[in-house]
Order: sequence, then structure tokens, then C-alpha cells
Amino acid sequence: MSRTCIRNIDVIYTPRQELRGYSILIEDGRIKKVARDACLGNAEIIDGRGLHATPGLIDPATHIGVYPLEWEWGDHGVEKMDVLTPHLRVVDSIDPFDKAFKEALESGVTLVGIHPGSFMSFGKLVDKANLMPGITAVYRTTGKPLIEEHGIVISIGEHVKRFFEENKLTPTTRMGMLARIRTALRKASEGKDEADPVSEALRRMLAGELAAYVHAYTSRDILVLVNLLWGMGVRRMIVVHGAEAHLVGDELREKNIPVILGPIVFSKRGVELKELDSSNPLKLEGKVVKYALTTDHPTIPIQYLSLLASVAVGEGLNPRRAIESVTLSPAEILGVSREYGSIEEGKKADIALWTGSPLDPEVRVAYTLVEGEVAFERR
Amino acid sequence: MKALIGARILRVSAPPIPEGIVVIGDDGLIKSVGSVQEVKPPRDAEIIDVKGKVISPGLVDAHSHLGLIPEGMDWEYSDVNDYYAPVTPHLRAIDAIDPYDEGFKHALEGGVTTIYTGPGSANVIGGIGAILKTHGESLADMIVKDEAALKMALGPKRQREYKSKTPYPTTRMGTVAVLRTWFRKAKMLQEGKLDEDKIDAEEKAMLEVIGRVLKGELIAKIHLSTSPDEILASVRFIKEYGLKATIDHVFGGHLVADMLAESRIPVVYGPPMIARIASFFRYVDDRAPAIMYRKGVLVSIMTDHPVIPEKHLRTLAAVTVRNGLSLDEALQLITLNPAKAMLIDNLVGSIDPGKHADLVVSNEHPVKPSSTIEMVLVRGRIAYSRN
Repeated sequence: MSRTCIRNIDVIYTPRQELRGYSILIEDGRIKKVARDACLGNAEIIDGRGLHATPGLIDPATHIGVYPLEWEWGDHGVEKMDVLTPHLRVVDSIDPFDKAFKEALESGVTLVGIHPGSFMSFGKLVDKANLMPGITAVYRTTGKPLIEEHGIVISIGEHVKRFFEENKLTPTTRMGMLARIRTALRKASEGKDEADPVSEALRRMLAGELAAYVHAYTSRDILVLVNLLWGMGVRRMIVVHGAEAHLVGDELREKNIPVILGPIVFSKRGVELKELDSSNPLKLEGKVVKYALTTDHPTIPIQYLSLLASVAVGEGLNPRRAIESVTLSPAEILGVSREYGSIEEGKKADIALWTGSPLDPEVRVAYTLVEGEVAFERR
Repeated sequence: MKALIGARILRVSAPPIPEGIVVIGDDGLIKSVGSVQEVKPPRDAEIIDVKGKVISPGLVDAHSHLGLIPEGMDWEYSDVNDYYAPVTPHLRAIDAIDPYDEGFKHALEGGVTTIYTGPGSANVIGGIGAILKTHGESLADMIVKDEAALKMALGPKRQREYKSKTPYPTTRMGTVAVLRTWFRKAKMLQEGKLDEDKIDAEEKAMLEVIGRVLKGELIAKIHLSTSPDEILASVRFIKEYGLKATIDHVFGGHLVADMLAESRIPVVYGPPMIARIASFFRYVDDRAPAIMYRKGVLVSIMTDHPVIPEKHLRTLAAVTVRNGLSLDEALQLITLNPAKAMLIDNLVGSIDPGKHADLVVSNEHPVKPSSTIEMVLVRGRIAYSRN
């Protein structure tokens, strides 16, 4: 049995309160005890004095490993053999040696969602596009998958339209995109073609086994796609990007749909991103059931996830809510909050130890623990 | 007259004043600054109570494209890069700037009051950039210098698919050779070694702009130094012609920091937080500003708006804090240093008598991203107020 104890931590951020001068005992990768006297008995000791403890940060919608940093333009994120490929699995495209994994650990990030599809590159909004680029995964930042198949990405909007048009592909209008998606879903629900991998993947989404990630920016695109999916019986939906999600908060709340917002620091380029702003987390407060922040890495490098949370505080968001938006909320959105997302007894010991308040730019991550193991230590 | 009283004042040019007062004249200039004990507000001054707040100089961005790609517009509306020819010194950003770009308003919300905005990096010599206030009654009212710097760019030129009058160079040596050819010719024209009658009107206009760079009237702003070898090439070129210059982007600058410090050429790093999405970005390292700063280089940081929105200049300063600078040092990188680099430190960049009363009032140190900007003054006028 391996036992580690972080002793006398200045501040521990828990969902309900900030604990001062407490210790955390970790046994076999799980948080065994959070108490003033948790460090009794044999255990490897980490001195927590002067440190603040948060849960390991979680970014639920990155492209880590798919577009490795400082790499050639090899694209393993958007398949071009068809415009609708929901059966592709992003795990088959991920480079576990992308240095972004290491940079994530160095900045307290322990869990990431990884999405196929395009990121919001600069220059052109996307290099390529696909209406359904594939199935997302959830990874530990140590490079090991936690959930290999999490949800199907469905992407519509101006950038998709433009890409199809430039490449002489179809469809080239919103009505065309929606018709393609509707037809594919109908075919899947009829279940006539057992061997068709596209239908098989979509059936799993219709059955709720896979989530539906609605990648869209504007209120009109969010609504039209959500309503289509809802009408076809999809109940597990997550909106991603959502530059205008605050404008359709009521509709999303009614259907219990959370939002993965961001990146909240990005160019307001094109009509679709006009409403994108760092004040959007504040605008979503009380409007939707839940929201989390994303870097959309590599758009904003993963190491700046906590910085995005600080920026939201500058806009008036409560600091506790800002920390929640990069810890517990993304865990809940990913459906892993029984094990991850907060410092509570029984959960996996994914913990970041900071040299002060995690929202302060002068503060560094001193240790990152992934399931009880020290995965990063600043020397 | 106005007097802002009671705040902690981050002067930048001098140590912070724990509880100070700034008096602003009707001319929009700072009249006096000091501690509340030393300086008393004039009797007729309008008093603005900012007790417990922080006042810093209006932020300055030495490299943006604000007003040239209006926010919420698509690339069809972009006026940044013209592929007319590899050398177009006679193009002027001021002719294309949209003063109604919402980006100006958002910049103010982020405390940014003075910006350089100019052509992009597509051409070897792209054109003349301007320095503007982010607030004013008209474009004319916003202008600090309508012709401030001539933008040049190294880096790979990939515009071969465009039908320009003359071909683009495709190597760095080719790019530098094009630069040198034009500068040499402009110098010969100045020295009377060319027969002016034999030069056509357009070429003459182009050579005259370069001539102003040679005379030091325009800053040579060299973009796209994305690797140490490009920085070295820029330094060689600047020294060869004795130019007043800045080296922009300066990725990999930390690897040649000693040499940069010795050259005394100001650099504008960034934008920090940029996506390193190709091998092209392998020298990007957000520790670079801190390393260069420690070696004595005059460092500023850029948003390169719209790459990172102008509003987030201070967020980018926070990135340099995460990578080794103190909050006050990082503040220099977005106030006095860019003002010096653009030769406007007689006007802006610090809180000193005689300078523009461009002031930012925030609840905490403005380089902390979690701080909130509450009021921004431009030349003494309240240009933004949160409430």
C-alpha cells in the first residue's frame, strides 16, 4: 500500500469552503482523509506549508496530441475521405509524446478532453472541416487514456461552410448541413444497415452511450443543432465554444445542456465570433446548468488554463466559481465527478499544489499529483 | 482641471506612490503628480476620489493591426496585407483605418490608450504604420503620428500565387538583398548620385519614404524575426544603415539576448500565449521577455491584435510575470518601454508632468488578470467608466 501525505497546507479549495492548515492523506491513489491530523502513521510526506491545493485542473475540450506543438503541418484531426465521419476515434490519432502533455502537468492540469476536428487557428478559422470529425477521448496528462470513446463531435457554422465551398465539397448551406446530419441520424435509428460504421457510431449516440458535442459559436447554430438532435432523441448534449451561448441560456437550461466555453481570449474575427469575450463566463452565471472553460489547445496553450480563469475574475466572476470552472464543473460535464474534480475523501488524488493563490500570475505550480503519484515537481 | 486623489500611483518612471494625487490640466496633460502630503489639488479642480484604487499609465501597444481588420468582420474586410508587390513603402495604414472598429472601444476597456497599427508581414517592405489613441472624436482626433514607422518583414514569403508586378523573394538572403537594394538606391538618391528625371513617379515616392527612414524620421519596424538567425540578419541590416529601428516578434531573442542588449535595438516580443502550431514556431518561448529584460534589452510586448485582442495586452503582461518578471517590471513592457521604442516617451508611457493624462484606474495592480479596470482617461477625458 502506498501512502503519501501533504501536510499543513495553507489553503485547500474544496467545493464548499477553503480549509486552512489541513493535511491530505493519499492511499493507493485516492484521497483517504482530509483533516488537520491526517498525516498520522507511515507515509511519504510533502510539506504543504506556503502552498495552496486545488484539484488537478481539467480542460474538457482540447486537441492535445492531435496537433503536436512545434510540429509539421501533419493533420490527424480532420479526415477528408468524407464530410461526415463519426466513427473515427481520436485515440487513434493522439501522439502521447506531444510536449503539451508535459506543459499541462507543469501548470497543474491533470485531465483533458481531446477532440478530433479543427482548432481555431489564426490566419484561417480552420484549415479543414468535417461535419462529424469523430469520437472524443478523455486523457490523463501523464499521456494515458481514461475514457477512449466519450462523445461524437458535430460541427456546423460559417467555417465549415466556407471550407466545403473552397474545396468544392457539399453541403454548402446550413440547410444542407442540417439535412446531411438528419439523414445520417435517421438512417442510424432505422438500423437497417448493421455493418455501416457511421450508423453504428450514431446509434450509440442516440442511445446515450456517447455524448453529442455540439461545436458551434452563434446562437442560431447552437439552437438549430440542439433542436435537431433533441428531436431525434439525443439527450446527452454538450455545447462547445458557444460564443453566443449566453443568448440562448434558457433553451440550454431547459434541456439540461452544459457549455464548454472558449477560449474566452481570442480574436473576434468574423461574424461568428463577434460576441466572444472574456466576460462570457460571467454572462453564463445562473443561465445554464453548468459551464467549464477551455483553452481549445493549441489555440491558447494548455499551460494558460488557470490564466483564463483569472481573466474571467477580472470581468467580475467570483474567484471560487472561476476555480470551479476549471475543476469540478468540467469533471461533471465529462461525467467523471464521482472520481475527479474536487478534493474530497474517496476521490482520485489529482491535486495541484501552488505557491499561492492559483489565480495570481506570480504563483507557480510546485507539485502536480496524478492519482496520487507526483507527476511534476518544480525544482 | 481634474484631480484624482487617494490611489496608489504606479508612475513607472519612478517608484510607486502609496497614496497619491494626479492633477490634470485643461490641456489634457498631467500638471503634477505626488503624494497627498506633497501635492494639494488646485481649488478649482474637479475632484475624483479614487481612494484605495491603483492608477497606472494608459497602456501602450507597439505592434497591432487595430482598425485594419474590424472586429466581427470576416477576412474579406481585412486591409492588412496587400500583395501588390514585395516592396510597397508608399502604402499608408492611416488610409485604411476604420475608426469605428469596435476593437478601439474594447481596447479602452482593457486600459490600452495608445497603439501602433500598421501593415502586415506579407511584403518585404509593407508600408507606413500609424500611432493612434484608442479614443477620440474622429480619426483626426485619435492621431498621435499618422506616419510613424516603416514596416519591413523578413520571414518566409509565400505570396507566389499572387500576381504582383515583381516577384517575391523566397529565401531570407533574397529578402535581405531586396531590402538592401532599395535602401542603397534611396541612399544614392539622397546623395544626388542618381538622375532623378530617370526615376518614375511611383518609384520616387517609394524611395522618398525609405529616405525618411535613412534620416531617422521614420522608425524601421522589422517584423517576423521568428528565429535567432532572422534576428541576427535584422541587427546586421539595422547597423549597416544606422537606422532607428525595432525588431518585432523576436522569437528566439532569449538565445541572442547579450547581442541584442549590446546593439541597444528595442525589441517587441510576441504575442505571448501564441499557438505554437507548426515547426515555424519552435523558437517561441514565453520566458524570452524576462530573459531579455534581465540582460538589459529594451523589451515591449505586443498583442499583434487581432491575433490576441488588444483588450488583453495586460493579460499578456501577466504571461511574462508567470515566466519570471515582477508585476511592476511587466508593467514597463506595456507602458514606458513601448513608448521609448516608438520614440513617443516624451508624450506617453509614464505618469509625469507634461505627458498626456492617459490614466488607468483599477482595483488592483492592472497586470493581475483578476484585477478590474474601472476607469480610463485619455488626454484627461474620461474615455471609459465601468459603472
